[in-house]
Amino acid sequence: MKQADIQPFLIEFFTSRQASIVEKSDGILTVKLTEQLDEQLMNRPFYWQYVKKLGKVGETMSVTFITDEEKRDQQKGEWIHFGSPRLDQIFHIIQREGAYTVLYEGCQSNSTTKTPLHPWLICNIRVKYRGFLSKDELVSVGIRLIDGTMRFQMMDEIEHKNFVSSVPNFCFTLPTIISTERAVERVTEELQQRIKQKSTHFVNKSHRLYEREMDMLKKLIIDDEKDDAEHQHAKDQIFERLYPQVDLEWINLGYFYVSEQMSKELIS
Amino acid sequence: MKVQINQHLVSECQELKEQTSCDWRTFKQACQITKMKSTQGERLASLSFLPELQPMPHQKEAAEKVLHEMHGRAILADEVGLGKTIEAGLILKELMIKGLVKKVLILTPSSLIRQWEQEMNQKFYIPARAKHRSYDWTLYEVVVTSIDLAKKSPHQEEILQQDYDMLIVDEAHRLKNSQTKNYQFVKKIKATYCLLLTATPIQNKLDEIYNLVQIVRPGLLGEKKAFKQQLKKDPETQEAMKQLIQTSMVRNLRKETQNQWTERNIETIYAQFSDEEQAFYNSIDNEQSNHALTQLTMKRGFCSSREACFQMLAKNQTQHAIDRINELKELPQHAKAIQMMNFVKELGEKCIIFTEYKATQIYLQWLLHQHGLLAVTYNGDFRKSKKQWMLHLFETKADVLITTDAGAEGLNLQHCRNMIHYDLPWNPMKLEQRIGRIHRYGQTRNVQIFYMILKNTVDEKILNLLYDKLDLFEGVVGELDQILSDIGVGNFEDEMKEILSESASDQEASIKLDNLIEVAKSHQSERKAINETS
Repeated sequence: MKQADIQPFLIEFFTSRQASIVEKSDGILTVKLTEQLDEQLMNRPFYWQYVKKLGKVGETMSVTFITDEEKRDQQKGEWIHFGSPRLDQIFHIIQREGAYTVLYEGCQSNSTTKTPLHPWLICNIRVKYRGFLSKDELVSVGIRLIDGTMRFQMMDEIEHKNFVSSVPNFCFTLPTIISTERAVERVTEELQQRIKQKSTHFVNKSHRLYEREMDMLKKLIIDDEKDDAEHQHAKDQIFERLYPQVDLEWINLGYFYVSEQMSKELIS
Repeated sequence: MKVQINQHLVSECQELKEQTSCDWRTFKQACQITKMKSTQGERLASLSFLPELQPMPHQKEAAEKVLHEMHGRAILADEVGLGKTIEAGLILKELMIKGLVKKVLILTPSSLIRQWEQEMNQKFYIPARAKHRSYDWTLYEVVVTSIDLAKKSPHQEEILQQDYDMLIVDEAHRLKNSQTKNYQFVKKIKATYCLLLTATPIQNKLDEIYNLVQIVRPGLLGEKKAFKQQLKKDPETQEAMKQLIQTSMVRNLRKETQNQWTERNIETIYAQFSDEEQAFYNSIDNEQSNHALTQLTMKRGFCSSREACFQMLAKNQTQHAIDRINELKELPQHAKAIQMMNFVKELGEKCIIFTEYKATQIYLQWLLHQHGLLAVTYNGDFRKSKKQWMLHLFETKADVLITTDAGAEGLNLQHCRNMIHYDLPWNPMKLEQRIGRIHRYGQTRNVQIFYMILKNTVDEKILNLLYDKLDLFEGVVGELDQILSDIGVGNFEDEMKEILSESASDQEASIKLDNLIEVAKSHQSERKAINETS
């Protein structure tokens, strides 16, 4: 996404959330917010609390977003760019809303043959490495809830496929055999296995530096009696910074019901 | 070997399932946004958001190192002109994009506030605002201000109440002394991430680096007493200490990044005193009453201008001083100044003139003006707004900027490529600081450096003794500060003055200086040998 992509992104974001576009030109966009968006974005909880208490309908705000730097002086409005708090706020909304889904493959079917849809669970997880260096890895694991078959890089596979939010006509969903908890457990086990296998360099180097700093610290502590808390603090700091750790965090989680054909494609 | 894996995926998945289901596009976007905000390998996510910015390789590496290995708390100690501000901007932008940093406090010398504000806004789209008395500290997320303002009451109390995500201190060598109010104040500011910027992390003693590290990584170097004891031990321990320091410090040297730089040409321009001037100059030696060091100082002053010399004399109310002042009044225009003025006219390009004396500054401005050249002055006494205005004039209208070393700290003047050292500084580090104003990140043309030298004077002595030996210093200059402190020679300037004033002949002075350089160099090769074996 570049600066020029921000305006189309905003238009899509606001229209898909039922806000109306008041004015649109190159680099300038004015949007009349919905009540929900106003509450999420404009940070005026007292106003909304007051309005609701009186049982009235609140007046939502209109906001002008300027995405072309040269137009910053021409018009009143918010200059929006990467790293601006507003864009970050919008990103947060998407991340929060996009944390969970249930979707169905948008397949065409006719009345004579009913199409069964196979259940998959997609786990998108952020793997954070912390140690001599910090880095993130995003993994997308799909697990078929019938037999536990797993597939990595799942999002890449289905990125261009069409999914809808309700069961398409003449389709029905097959029941799951593996429970969600069990499926997540298996995904986690597999992930941990893989992380341990591929991160030996990261782990070794982190341990080496960790121990070197701990040794150094020992030499630097002259008086063991004095201020033990401070030394413990220094040790904790070194541990936090260098001891190899991996955090697994959810990005999002979704049930995907797909046709038998797609299910087969995913496994092959 | 063990690795600790932290996860609560199963229990957290229960919470996720209670949410409303989203549509396909939002689900995909949530993944894309997370990806955008993640550290993918060693790459900086912020670069794709800053298409106009083209950081140099060492700047990118520095930012990556600070982010990925130093966890956002570090001393950025590149030599002057290598773009520490760019590095700090990159780091800040990266953390802001990832949503890790919102509230930022930037402390700079007051002359650089405007520059920081502009650079952050224009180069990085970071909405930095200079603090103004009309609004509160909390009004803007990213505030730029000077330590001097920040440490005053009630600002100090208000700042200490805040939880900042990031603290940036520019020209952080001002914090080298842990006894000062500045130091104690900065140490108390609460911030998750912290960058200290300085070109000279060690000016005199290794203690200074201890104090800076104590801010970015408290406890890393243990207690001060133990730290000092360790330093006195074997070279191996010392080397280990240095490595430890390096885990929180990035230092790029100009010579390591050289191929990216435009060329630097150095030329010496000679002037000759008129007979009367020479006679006055020679008579300084005959002033029995004065100490050798005082005589040297007086000579240096007179080599700069009558006005500089006058200022020195005027401090004494003795009859002798008054007589000397009367002699001064009779002298013609200063030979070196005339020579320089003609040179600037011939040059026909903008140039920066460095002098050690404020009196000379005013004299030169007057002289240039008499001959149709527009010159502006700049020094540490000016108020912030005046400084800004002078720089603006220099960029847009004036032909010449006349400045002192005190005034020029941290300035970016790469729009100009000529620099005249009207007076030579004692310390070659200072020379590097000066040249760094124009020979820096962003300079597109070759730069031209000129020394102004009066023949048969202390000017020439300094040139021959010190500056002709600069190539001997080659490779040491960048580290001179560190080396001198390592070998226990406190201050290069004092050392030089002593050599010059206490040597019976030039040869003696030359030999003494050679010795000093020899010691510095042998010390350096020792360090190198240790580095290579480790």
